[in-house]
Amino acid sequence: MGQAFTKLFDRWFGNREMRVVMLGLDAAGKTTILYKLHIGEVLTTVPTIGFNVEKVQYKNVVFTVWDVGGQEKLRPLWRHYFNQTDGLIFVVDSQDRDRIGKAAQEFQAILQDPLMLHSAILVFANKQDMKGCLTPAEVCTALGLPEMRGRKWHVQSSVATRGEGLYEGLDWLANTLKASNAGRPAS
Amino acid sequence: MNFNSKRSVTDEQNERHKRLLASILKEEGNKSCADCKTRNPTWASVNLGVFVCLTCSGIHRSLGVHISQVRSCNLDTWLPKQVEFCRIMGNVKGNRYWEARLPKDFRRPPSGNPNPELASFIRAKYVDQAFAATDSPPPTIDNYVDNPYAKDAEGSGSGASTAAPAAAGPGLSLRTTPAKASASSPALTTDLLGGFDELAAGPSPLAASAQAAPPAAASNADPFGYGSFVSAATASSAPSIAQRNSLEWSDFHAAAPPSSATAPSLPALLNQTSGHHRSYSEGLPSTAGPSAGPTASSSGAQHGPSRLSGAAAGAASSSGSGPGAAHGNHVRHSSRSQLDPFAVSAAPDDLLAGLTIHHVMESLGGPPSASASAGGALPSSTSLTGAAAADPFAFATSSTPADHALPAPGAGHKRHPSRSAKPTGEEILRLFDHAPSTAGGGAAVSDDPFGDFLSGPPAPSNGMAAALGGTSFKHAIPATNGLGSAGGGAMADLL
Repeated sequence: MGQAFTKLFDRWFGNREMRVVMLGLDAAGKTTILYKLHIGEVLTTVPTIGFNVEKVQYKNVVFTVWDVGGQEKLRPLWRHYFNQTDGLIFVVDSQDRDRIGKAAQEFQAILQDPLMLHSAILVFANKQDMKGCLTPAEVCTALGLPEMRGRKWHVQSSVATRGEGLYEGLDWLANTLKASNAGRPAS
Repeated sequence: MNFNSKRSVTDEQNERHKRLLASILKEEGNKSCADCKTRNPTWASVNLGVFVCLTCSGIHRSLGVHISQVRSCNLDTWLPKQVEFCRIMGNVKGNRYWEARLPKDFRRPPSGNPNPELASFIRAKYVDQAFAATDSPPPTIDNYVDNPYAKDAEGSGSGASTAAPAAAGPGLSLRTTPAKASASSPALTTDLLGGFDELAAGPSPLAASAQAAPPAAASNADPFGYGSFVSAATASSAPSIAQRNSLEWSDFHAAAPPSSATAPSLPALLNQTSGHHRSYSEGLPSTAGPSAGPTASSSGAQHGPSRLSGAAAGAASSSGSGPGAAHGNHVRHSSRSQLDPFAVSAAPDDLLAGLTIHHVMESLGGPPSASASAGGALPSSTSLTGAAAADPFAFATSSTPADHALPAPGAGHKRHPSRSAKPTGEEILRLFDHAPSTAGGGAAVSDDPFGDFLSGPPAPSNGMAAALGGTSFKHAIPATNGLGSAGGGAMADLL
C-alpha cells in the first residue's frame, strides 16, 4: 500500500525519467551540449567515437541523454539507440551551410524509423553566435519540419558554449513529455 | 542512414579516397599532427589541408567551419576535391604558411589531451593567423590552385614530372662536389618492381639513384604512387648498381663520390622530391621546419629505410634517392619526402614525443565519459561502441595494400615498441644477406622507426653507415622487420 502510494506520489510530484537520444552531424555540438547540461561547463571535447551518456536533471525530469558520435561511419549505428526513446534531440551546426542538406537527409532518415514515430523532436539550431549562421527559421525549413505532420517538434536556437537556449529546449521536452504522459516514473 | 550517402561520392570513389588518404597520411610531413606534432594523425581539416590528431581536431572543430572543417580520415566520406586538396597541401606546406613566422625556439604546447595552451595556440595559428606568412592569403580549398603556398611542389598532377628535371640542375650546382642528376622520367613507373629487384640484388648505388615517382596523373589515381618514390638519404658506395640503375631507370643519378657528403643542395632536393611527390617535401630551406635540427635529420635518416622497405612491401615501390640525397647532409630533407609504411616517424621536433607509446587509442577516442552514468545501458550499445572503435583499425589495416604484411600504423607502435634492438654489426650483416641492396647499412635497415627512437646511442656501425651515407634501399623482408637502426643518431652526430 505504501509502495503504491509512493508511486502515485512520484507520479505527480516526483522525478520522471525520460530517455533522449541526441543526434546530429559531426561537429554540431552534441557533446558540448551534453556536458554543458550535465556539469555546467564547456569542455574541450574531442570527436566522439562511440557515445556519451549522462543523466541531466531539469525541474523534475531526469533526462538520460545519449550523445552518439556523428561521423559518417557512425551514423548507421544511430538506429541502435532508438529503442525506448522518448525524445530526439537533433543538433544542427547552424553555421555549416554546406552541410545543412546533409543534416536534413540524416534527420529525415531518423524520423522514418519506426522506433522514432512517437518521439518528441527537439532541434537545436546550435552555434547561433557564429556569424553567417542560419537562423532557427531557416534551419527549420531546411530540415523540412514545416511539412511534417503528426509529430511534436520544436526548433530551439542555442549557443552551447554559453549555455543559451539549452534549458529552454529541455523545458519544451519536459512539458511535451508531461503532456503526452510518456514519461515513466523514475526508478 | 546510408553508409555512404553523399550523393556525389560513389562507393568506389570512397574506397579510392580511403586508399589515397591512407597513403597521404604516410607522407613524412603528415605523420605527425600539424599543430601538436602528435604522431599518426587521423583527422584532417579539409579546408586547410592539414592533418591533425584527435585532440587538435576537437579544437579545430571549436573554431567554426569558416576556419576549419574537420573530417576523419577513417570515419567520414570525403569529397574528391577535399582529398585532392589535402593531397596537394599536407602538413608541410600547410605549416610553411601557417607557421611561417613561428619563432624557431617555439615550444609547442603539450599534446595528447585537450588543454588551454594547445587550444590558444591553435586559435592563434588559424584564427588570428599570428604565425602565418604575410605575403599571401591562406591556402584553402577554395584558392589553392593559385596560392603559392599550395603550389611550389607542383600545382597539379602533371607538374610533377617537369618539376623534377628542372630542379635537378640548379640543385647540383650548389654542391661542392660534382654530381650529376638526371631527372627520372615518369614513364618508369611500371618498372618499379623491376628496378627494385635490381637494387635488391646488388649494393645500392654510390650515387643514389632515384626512381621517379609514377607520373603525376597516375599517382593521382594510384595511392601507391606515393609509395613508390623514395628519396633515400644516401651516398652508398656500391657503384655497380648505379650503373644498372642508369640503364634501368634512366634517371636521377647523383654521381657524387661517396665521400662527398657536402653542403645540402636544398633546392634541388626539395624540388626533386616535391616534383615527384607533390606535397611533402619540406620546402625551401628557410622553412625547413622550425625546429628541424640535427634531431630532425636523425629521424629522417631513420625513416628512410623503413620507408623503403614499406615501399617494397607495398608492391609497387621504386627506390631512389634524389641527387641531393646522395649526401648525408641531405638526409633530413630527403627523408621528409619519403613514405613510411609505418607512419610512425616522429616529427622533427617530436622525437621525444615519439618515445611515448602512442595512441592508437586516440582514434578510438575515449569520450569524456564513455563509461556512462546512465542506468540501463543498452547491451547493444556497448557492442556498438566496440564496432565503432574497430573501424579505424579496419581502415588502417585492410584498406591499404601497402600495409599488408606490415603492421598498421598504430599497430606498429603497439607491437614493436620494444623491438628496438640496437643493430649490431651482425644484424646489419644479416640484413645485408637479406637485402643486399642496403649498402648503406645502418641507416637503411630500420623497419621500425619507433625502435629507432628507442635505440639510444647509435651503434658505431651505424655511424659508419651513416657516414657513408648509407643508402636505403632494401627489400622489405619480413625477417628484417623490427630491427631498429640507430643510424639516425649517427647522422645527427655527423651533422
